Amino acid sequence: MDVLADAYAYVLENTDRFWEALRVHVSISLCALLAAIVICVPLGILCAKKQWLSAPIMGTFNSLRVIPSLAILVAVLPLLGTGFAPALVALTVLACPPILVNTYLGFRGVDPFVLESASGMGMGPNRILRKIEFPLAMPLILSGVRTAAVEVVASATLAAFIGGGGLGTFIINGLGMYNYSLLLVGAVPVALLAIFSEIVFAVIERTATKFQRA
Amino acid sequence: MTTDNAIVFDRVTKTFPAASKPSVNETSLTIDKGMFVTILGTSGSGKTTLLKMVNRIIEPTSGTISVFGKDVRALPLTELRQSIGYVIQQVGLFPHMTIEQNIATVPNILGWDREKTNGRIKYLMDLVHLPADFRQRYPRQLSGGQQQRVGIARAMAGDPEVLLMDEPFGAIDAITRTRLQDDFLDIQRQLGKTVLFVTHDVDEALKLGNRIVVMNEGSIQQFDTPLGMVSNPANEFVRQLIGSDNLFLRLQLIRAEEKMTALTEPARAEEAHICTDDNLREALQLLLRQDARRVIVDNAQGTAVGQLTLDLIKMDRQG
Ligand SMILES: Nc1ncnc2c1ncn2[C@@H]1O[C@H](COP(=O)(O)OP(=O)(O)OP(=O)(O)O)[C@@H](O)[C@H]1O
Ligand SMILES: [Mg+2]
Repeated sequence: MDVLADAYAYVLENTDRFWEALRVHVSISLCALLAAIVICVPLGILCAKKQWLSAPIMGTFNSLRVIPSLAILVAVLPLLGTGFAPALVALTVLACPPILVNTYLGFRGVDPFVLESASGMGMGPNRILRKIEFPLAMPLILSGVRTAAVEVVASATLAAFIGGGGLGTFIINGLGMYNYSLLLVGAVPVALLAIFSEIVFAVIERTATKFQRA
Repeated sequence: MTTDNAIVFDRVTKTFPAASKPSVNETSLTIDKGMFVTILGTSGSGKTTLLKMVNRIIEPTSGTISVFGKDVRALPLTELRQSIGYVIQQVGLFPHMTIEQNIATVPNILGWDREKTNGRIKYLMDLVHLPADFRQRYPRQLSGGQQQRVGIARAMAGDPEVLLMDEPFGAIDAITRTRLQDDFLDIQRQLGKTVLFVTHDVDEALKLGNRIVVMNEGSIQQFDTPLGMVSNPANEFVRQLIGSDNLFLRLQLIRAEEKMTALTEPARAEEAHICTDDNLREALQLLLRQDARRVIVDNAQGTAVGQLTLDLIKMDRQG
């Protein structure tokens, strides 16, 4: 308990540093998540529509996932240097596979007879995408984003290794100085952030799947 | 080219890529406005292919199809389809939309105002006998039969002149199917829509259609009225498929009114009575069961307008 109390005291003494780290942590996570959504949702749709594209695209992203995040961080160092940008790239790569795979599965999972009746009634491809495919694929897409969000929030700690800032700074410093309360100043908020994002997405998913439970 | 021709197939052929023979072969067919045409045939005979070429879900390899005198390729695809109702066996309701949203699909595309769409939904749900409190339900909260009622309402939302239906009642139990058939027949008679209806159920084809198309291996074997089909099958295939040798089937297709003669003596209440719309099979059944000399034919008001005797029914065997 002492360790926790010390950690709390540290936060109180260094409010500015703490809030700044939290802000960087959250913004780097959100940016990575957004970038992954912007890249992978369209790619996932493309894979679902053009079956021959799915093997190369999904393969590429899945092989990227095998590379440890830290290795990616180090790999992009020569290109992007240190700081926010390389951390963002590494986290985006990390967030991509679950979003890509779930978007693909979500779109592939739409009942072909639903699509046939939609186009048979004269809905154009864009209208079908907006009114039929997206809403029906949404539960799966959201659960992909949720998985990605938790991974990104947790992994954003690594950004500190290359000077990206965030809550990881406290963890690295804490580890380096054998200061467990300092380590907790980073670790506890990261855990809380992960839980918080789970909850937020659970709520969003519930509204998107209302029709399945009515 | 008159507008009385609702759908005209002109030497239409469809050969799927990599297929060895055409699924629909050099087929010509003219369907008048207001006809209820059932398409009958064994599995793989090309019924669905023929149907889906009308709304261009399948594009013909050669030949032309026109709807009310207009080549189906003349209109943009979406516009063509908005003007043709389409119902499939799997129904294909949108699971994330309520019943009213499903029915409003075409009105929404056409940009109708809320009031007009609302009125249309109300009218259609009433037409297909769906209770008004189903409006806010989701498709999965409905039975298969109810879902297909929604499917029909949805297809008719834009008030299309032509309805294409591919085995719409094929996945529904016999009792529910009979009710759906009766209700849909009512709707068609009431509204005079031109219907193209694929089925592989002979009874359904004879009951619903006022014309039947029999298909085999991509070709039309015969295009005729139910009675014509039973009385004069064009070939052995049609005879076998329809069961033209079945006398009862034939009697079933002739209404009492068509064969009755004038009353030879006034009708008495205790005699056997049937309606003008009843068929000869029912008349024969009554004659045999009651061992009567004649059956009295009453009109809708219950007034005796004619009589049927065993001799009259026998004579019909010769046509
Ligand atoms: N998309 C397709 N690609 C290749 N061949 C097809 C395709 N659709 C249908 N066929 C072939 O065309 C022929 C006619 O098929 P169609 O679906 O029109 O039959 P059908 O009369 O509707 O049969 P069923 O009663 O089983 O529905 C079949 O031999 C079928 O294998
Ligand atoms: Mg078929």
